[in-house]
Amino acid sequence: MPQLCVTAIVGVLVAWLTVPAITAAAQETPDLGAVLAEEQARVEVIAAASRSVVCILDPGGTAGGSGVIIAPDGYGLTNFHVVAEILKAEGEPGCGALSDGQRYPLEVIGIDPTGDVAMFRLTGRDSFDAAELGDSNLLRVGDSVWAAGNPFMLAEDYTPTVTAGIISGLHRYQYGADARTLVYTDCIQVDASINPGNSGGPLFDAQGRVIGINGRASFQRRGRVNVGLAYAISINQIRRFMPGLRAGLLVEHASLGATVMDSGYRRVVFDRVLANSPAAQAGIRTGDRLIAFADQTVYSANQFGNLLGAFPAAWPVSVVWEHEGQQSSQVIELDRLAVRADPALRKRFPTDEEVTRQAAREMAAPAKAGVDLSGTNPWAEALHRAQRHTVKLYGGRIGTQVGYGTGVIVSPEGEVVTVLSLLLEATHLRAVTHDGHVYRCEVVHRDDRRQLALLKMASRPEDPDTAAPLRTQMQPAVWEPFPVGDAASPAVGDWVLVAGNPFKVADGEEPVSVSRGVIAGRAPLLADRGTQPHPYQGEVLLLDTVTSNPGTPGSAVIDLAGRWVGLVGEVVTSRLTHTDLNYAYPIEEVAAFLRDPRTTNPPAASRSAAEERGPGYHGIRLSSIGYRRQLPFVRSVAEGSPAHQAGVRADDLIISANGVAVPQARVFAEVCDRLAPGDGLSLVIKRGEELISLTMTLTEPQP
Amino acid sequence: MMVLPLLLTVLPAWTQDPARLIEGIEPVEGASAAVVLHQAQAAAFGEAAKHVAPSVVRIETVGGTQPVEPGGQPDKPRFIVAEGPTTGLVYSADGLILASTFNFVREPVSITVILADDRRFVAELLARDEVRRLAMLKIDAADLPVPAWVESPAEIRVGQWALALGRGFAGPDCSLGVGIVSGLNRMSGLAIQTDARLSPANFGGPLIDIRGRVLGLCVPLGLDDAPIAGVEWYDSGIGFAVPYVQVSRSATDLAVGHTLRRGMFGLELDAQPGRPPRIIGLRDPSPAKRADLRPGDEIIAAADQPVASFADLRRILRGHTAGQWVPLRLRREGAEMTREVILAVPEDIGPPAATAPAEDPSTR
Repeated sequence: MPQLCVTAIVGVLVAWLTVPAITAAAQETPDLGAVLAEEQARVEVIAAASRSVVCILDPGGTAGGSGVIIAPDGYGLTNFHVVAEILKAEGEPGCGALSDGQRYPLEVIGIDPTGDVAMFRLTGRDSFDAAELGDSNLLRVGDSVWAAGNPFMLAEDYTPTVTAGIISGLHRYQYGADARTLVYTDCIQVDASINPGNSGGPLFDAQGRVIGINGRASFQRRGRVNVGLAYAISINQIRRFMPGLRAGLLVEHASLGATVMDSGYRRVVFDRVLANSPAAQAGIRTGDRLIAFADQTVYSANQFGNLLGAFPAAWPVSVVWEHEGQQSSQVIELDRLAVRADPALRKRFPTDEEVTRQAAREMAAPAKAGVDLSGTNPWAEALHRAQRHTVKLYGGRIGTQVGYGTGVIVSPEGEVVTVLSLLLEATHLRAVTHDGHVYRCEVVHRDDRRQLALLKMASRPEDPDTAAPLRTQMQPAVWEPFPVGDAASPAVGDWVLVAGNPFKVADGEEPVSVSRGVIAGRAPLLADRGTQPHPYQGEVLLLDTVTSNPGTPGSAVIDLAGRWVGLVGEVVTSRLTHTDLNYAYPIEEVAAFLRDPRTTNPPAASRSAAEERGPGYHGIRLSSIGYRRQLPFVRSVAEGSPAHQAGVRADDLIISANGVAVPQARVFAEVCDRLAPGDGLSLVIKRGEELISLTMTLTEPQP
Repeated sequence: MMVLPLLLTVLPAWTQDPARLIEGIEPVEGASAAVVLHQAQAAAFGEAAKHVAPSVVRIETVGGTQPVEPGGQPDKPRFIVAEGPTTGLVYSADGLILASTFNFVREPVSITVILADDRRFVAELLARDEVRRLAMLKIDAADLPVPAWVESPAEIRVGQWALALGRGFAGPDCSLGVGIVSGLNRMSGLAIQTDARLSPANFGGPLIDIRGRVLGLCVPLGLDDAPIAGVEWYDSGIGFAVPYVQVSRSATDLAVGHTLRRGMFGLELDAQPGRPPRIIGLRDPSPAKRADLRPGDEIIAAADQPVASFADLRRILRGHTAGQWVPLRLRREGAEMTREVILAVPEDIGPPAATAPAEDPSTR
């Protein structure tokens, strides 16, 4: 029954009851009590669960990954790719180190090379602290999770690194990057910081139960550091393989002996059925439609891959299919998926499908979704909005993709706001809505200053493969726009969710990815896009979650109440910090853009006064000799000039101009170039060890 | 649902009207409990930040050049240090300002400190602690607001809130990043670890707890000794802050202008993984030579901690600075002995012999 729900209520009561005590002790507002109680509970859960986390070290002790103990007799789980090195170094045992600072001999027990899982056993102690396993079927996007492991081998004392986040997506399918990397099916996507060395480590739910094994992450041009997308193999998938792993086997994944393809909207058909395969023996023929697999309706080939990948060979699975309008249903024992495995490994780890059959008979039916978990996840409204109002954008020729992004639906007619980017130049630009429908888009409005664009979706969806209109007799779509009217003004520290299409991990109608952060601040956008200054220099919302990933620009920033508070801008580099900036346009700016008259050929931006009349005159010449070459030292001040009258002298060092720090002479020139005659210029100069503030009014340019 | 009325009684005074929660939206039954808690958290983040913000200063520098990275690794993207403002923290009421060495790697010719109340001061860089990546500035000011530190290491616990404040984006307010404490005793005990997003925007600024007390000073720390090592992890959720127990050890030296540097013995070591490091060469002159260390000696302990590998030795020495004496336990031809060796600065050590450098531990 709703165990989580009970826990939540208890937690609440504790929080409520402990308020007076904390108030008395710390003289704080009573309202902080609930926050502190939740923090304390989290610290305790983490402390307890961390004792089961293992640093797995190669025989040399110089490289490694992570793992988690799941039984007091020392059995534990990790990634296959973590123990691969240990298996190669025959004779020399690996070792697993625990947060007690001790190393224990580690033996590899069973392996799942296809699913990237391995079971190991630590020895050297009578009893180990084991983590409890959770039920990954009960997870929801937005749930709080935390990862533990040994990123970058930072833990010299073997205490795990703990990083917190939320579930960004469920049932994700991750292709192998090349033939040697493993496909992750039905995995859990999280925004917690997971890095090299975290491989094999546990993903915990808020109650400290293992819900997955972390194994992969999306990286980009910055190299192998976390950018907010990582993937864990779900514990429920691993559960089906565990009897085989524990029995010392090489466990194999399953095949139906047939492949499927998408054929129209939410329609999946068999395009190839191997002779004598389980599918063929059941009577499935090429062209038949796949209706359901393992008691779940199949709506895309990708989703079928997710479902199938979670099963071991020889597992019995119910399949429903349709042949010429007639449905059939049968429980089919899955065949093994042919994979190349190292012959040495095959020799060392036998296979035995009888173990799987036995496990299938004994395994209790997995918990059904629908358990009441309300009260633990604050993001229900925000997620509801994210799914209904955001679209995934793809550009390129039919059937191929050359770019991708995110947009937000802003009118019932299907207008979508997004950022200006090369994606919009694509020959075939289309939007995928939350129901998986694909709509052709055209650009109807663009704003070169704000770098925003408005798209209009076609009124009827098209077939994703042929670009022909869908055969279904559909009424023109009516969209629900994301309201921009009740522009909330989020405060620094407010939690927000960023919802979009980073790394296009959400395929078809899969819900967009979400990541959690807070409003980190507000500041003018002083940033470069590529090598060019970003034309928008107004205020932006700074965020503390990574927004510089491919596909993220155009994402909606949504607050706890489900309100749209910002739109993530294109990837830029901050001029102040030289880092990829995490930011969004405030919703007011998006609203202003939407109020503008629509045009796809904006007139050249009106010239500033400085551009019309030339920059105003101050009379300062900067030094340009020797080591002072780039420093804003004053060489001379023209007699009678505004600077002269204001009291600027030769050898003054300009520190700041109109509130802008002046680290180099170039910056001073940039500030002044934007000022017209009549504009004020206020300087802070350093003269000797003294700081002096001076102001002047610029005059007409001198000949 | 019963939870709802109960929870509304703890609605924080500083959150906005509860009606805001359900304004124009269908209320999600039961979810409000979590929403209210999260709104209370958000408000607490803001309050904690406001509490410490008066002690967080902006540092502006003029001039300088990009630091040269010794032995830069090709697979590591080189980070370009920007010219923008950075962050510092009031350390004493009479004008000591703590920051990170990162803020000054460009070797600027002028440093200015802007207090939270917009007052501006010329600052003198007193000294740097290159091991802890701390720097101490002095400004001619009095009655500065000194923040409260969490002084006892036992009070810092993995999983607690950790908020990073910075002034690197030059807005009127501090920028705020929210994370948790990820680990203790990292980098040979020099730092605590956090998954709050740290970057040049808040290096030199404080990492604070939910009550507005300083947990540590945010600095970049990495796997090697390059002056900007660790910056490549910016905003990745791998970040470090130097806690009070380490800051206090360093600050006294820094305040009197004493620079703390990494020290060397002048040893060339064979760094076989999983084996104690073996001496294969000695620089001349060097402290190792003067202490009569010899090729063939194995180092089995340093500073009273066992050394099972080169990595162990590296870790132990990481917490030491030049000028410190370190007892080394040696194994020589079956016998064991102890030698006290002082750590010297590189300038006091002779040229390297032509041998391959020791390997760094790698990760995957």
